[in-house]
Amino acid sequence: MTTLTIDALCADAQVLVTCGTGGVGKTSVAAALGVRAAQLGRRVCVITIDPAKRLADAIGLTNDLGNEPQQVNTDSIGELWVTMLDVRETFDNLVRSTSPTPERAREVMENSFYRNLSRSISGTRDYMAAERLYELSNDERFDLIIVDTPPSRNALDFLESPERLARFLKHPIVRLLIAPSRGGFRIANAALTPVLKLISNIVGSDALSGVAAFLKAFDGMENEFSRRALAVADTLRSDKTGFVVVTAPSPDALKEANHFVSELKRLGITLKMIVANRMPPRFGTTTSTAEHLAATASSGDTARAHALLAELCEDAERAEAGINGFLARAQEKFAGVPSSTATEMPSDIHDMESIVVLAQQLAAPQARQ
Amino acid sequence: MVTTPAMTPVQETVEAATELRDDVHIVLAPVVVNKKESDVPSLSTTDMSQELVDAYTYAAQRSQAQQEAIAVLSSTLELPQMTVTRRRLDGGELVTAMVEDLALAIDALP
Repeated sequence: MTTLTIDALCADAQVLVTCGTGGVGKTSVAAALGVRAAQLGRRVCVITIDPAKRLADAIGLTNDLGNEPQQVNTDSIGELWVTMLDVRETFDNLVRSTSPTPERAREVMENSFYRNLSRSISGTRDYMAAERLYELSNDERFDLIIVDTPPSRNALDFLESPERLARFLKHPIVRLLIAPSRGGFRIANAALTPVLKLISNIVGSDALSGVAAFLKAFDGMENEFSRRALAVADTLRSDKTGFVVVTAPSPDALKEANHFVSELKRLGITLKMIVANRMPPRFGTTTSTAEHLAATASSGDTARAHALLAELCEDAERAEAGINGFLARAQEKFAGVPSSTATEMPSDIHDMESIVVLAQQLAAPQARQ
Repeated sequence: MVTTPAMTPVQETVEAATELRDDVHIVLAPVVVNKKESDVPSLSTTDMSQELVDAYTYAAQRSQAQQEAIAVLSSTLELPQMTVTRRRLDGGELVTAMVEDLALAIDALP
């Protein structure tokens, strides 16, 4: 069986999703995959779901990213675009595009419940991330979308959000609130009135009437919401979508990477690639033991340099042991999953030049596969 | 607040601290700068092997990048700093070393 390489992944995938905990360089890796794909001639859009400005920082953009993708010069045959999820704008666009009339769209967007929903409820971010992925996947400007997920344990929640939204919209109470006058719900309407009164007592009648008004204005739009949600769910599970777990060799990062691997397994999603990022560099073939001995046997600056190299060797040896243990555990869940390695640079990645170097490292033939 | 001596964590710390101070009106304690590498001595690398030169150059560049990040933190956030040195230790030994570093840093606070 041919081992999948970063280049093959970047050349064939329609969607790549990077996941990993904070501090592993996940956003930089997402940008580097974008650069590599652009070098291979793809028209790539990297979207970050993370509200922090790390993607803009990583590629050295001075202006803030928004919902509308902006093109970045990579001097390659393809194209690289970058964007950051704007939850409210995505939600507004969704309402506009699914509403039967502009007036209805305005009615929904002016509703107080909708305004709260689109601005402050954290779960909304997951739904809108999936919706934005749907939009970008259907945008003819791009043939590859790279999703940079947030650096949190529940970063993969957005994978389940489309199906959750579709289930929610089909729930009898929601359908009753959307269209209480529809024939099939008359009996349910009568039966649910006490329930609604009870909810009203708890959350307040104003809040409930806001929700009810929102859902009534929503009438007729729910089917399109559901259709798009399920289309995204299909995309995320298709062979053309590749999930990439990014980790660094620290014990905490490896523990979290294990969690992501387990989550992907639980969700029935194939892990296509592991990126071991920020690996301490190796200098020659020497070992920490040999360098400690050399430091003891020499003096002056040479002794100090050997001591320094011994410490760097220790870092590399410790990191390799940690990564190898993690890869072995990942292989138990995803047999044959390939990995790619990039070494830690002396300073932070904060410009396109260093992203290109990272892309070259990731695409280079890997000793460990 | 706790940060590491690298540009991205420092920038995010400054942004978070500014919001906490200006929007939430929280009085912040000194910032802990964790995992700072030990200072790299200035060495003459004449007659050294390429491995030693490469290792020294890498360590010196990393140290310089950390110093620059700490300088940005100092110039943009008017809070005292407490530095914890990165050590190649695990578990209890690491915690003990960090506590000692923090105790010294607290003693040195203005």
